[in-house]
Amino acid sequence: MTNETTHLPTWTLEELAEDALSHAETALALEHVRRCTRCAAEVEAHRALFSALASLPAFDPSPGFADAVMQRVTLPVAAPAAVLQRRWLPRTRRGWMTAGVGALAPLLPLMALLSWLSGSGVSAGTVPGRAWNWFAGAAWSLIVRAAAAFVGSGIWQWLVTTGNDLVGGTRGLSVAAVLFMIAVPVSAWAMVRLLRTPVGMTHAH
Amino acid sequence: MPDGTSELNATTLTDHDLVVRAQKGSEKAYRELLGRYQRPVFSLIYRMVRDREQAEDLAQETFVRVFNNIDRYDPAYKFSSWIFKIATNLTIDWIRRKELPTVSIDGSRYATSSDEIEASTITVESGDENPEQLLVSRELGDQIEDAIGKLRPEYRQAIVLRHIDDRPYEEIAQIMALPLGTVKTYIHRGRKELQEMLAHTRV
Repeated sequence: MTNETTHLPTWTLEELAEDALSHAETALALEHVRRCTRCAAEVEAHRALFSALASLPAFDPSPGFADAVMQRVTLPVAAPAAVLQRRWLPRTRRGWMTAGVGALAPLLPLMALLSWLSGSGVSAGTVPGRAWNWFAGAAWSLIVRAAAAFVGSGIWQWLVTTGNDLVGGTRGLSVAAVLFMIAVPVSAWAMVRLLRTPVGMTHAH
Repeated sequence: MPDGTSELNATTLTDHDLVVRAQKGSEKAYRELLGRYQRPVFSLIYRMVRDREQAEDLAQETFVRVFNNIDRYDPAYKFSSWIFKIATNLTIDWIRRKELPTVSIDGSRYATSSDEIEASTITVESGDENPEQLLVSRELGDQIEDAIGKLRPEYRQAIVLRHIDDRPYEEIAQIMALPLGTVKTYIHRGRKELQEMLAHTRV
């Protein structure tokens, strides 16, 4: 070993002592350290310090520590409700006022509608029945029109013809339809599972 | 509420599994997490504040905060990083609020009687050393502990996490909420100061 005129930076020597250099860097650094007394001494000093620090003992808290902690911990017995409450309910008076105004806002158009209906001779008691009749009529009309449009477009005829050609008649088409009805919810379930898995989940060990 | 880990050996579960069970209300899962982390968390805080009673208070507060907010745990981070981050934040806040003198490891400075001194004295683990080696080892250990105690809190925290808890640089940066380069600088400067302070010893 000789005294070199140039020396490795302290950073590099620390990383060498810590085994933090890459394989190639380690080889180059060791080659220099073998020839340089000063750098070799510095690496040894770093290693001695790291070793001394690593050998320091861990300290234990007092024996009653765990019980003292657990006495102050609120176990999440009603966890889902608590979480829901914490996430969704307002926390300030201003928040409560905003939420109240937001909740009451839809009542205004409803009151206006009732006022208009009463002005048109409709009593409040008959409003739910009339509304339901209107809704059911509109929904049925929509379904009938959609079905007529579907059949009229020729798509249905094309599906029946193609199905007969491909899967061998009505029976094959029925089997394909059943398989399709099973596959859709299964793929939806798989998608939901995939999306709900947290990204980058790591374990602490 | 039934204990979700009753049929399972909690010691074989990962931290994440234990957190999930704790979120469902399993006291056994909480106690297993406590068992895993009370020693490293208390050691880190004790080395930061140099006072056993205060370290116990801060460690207790750390676990209470972590456990009472367990539903907010983000599994994208390691549980150890989360708990060490809370521990170091609490400790640094306490140090900033208080002028911290350097004290000996041989008992609390708040101890007023021999019983209290005895109770607050740190017991260190010993290997198979003879009494003379043990004494030298203890003296050296005390000198190193004193030197660590004289470092700036930021350097002390980084050095303890790196060299005593063996945490990787990236995790230390996460715990201290600092850029990786800053953490490396802190550790480098801390090492340099330690070497200067311990130059008269055999370290």
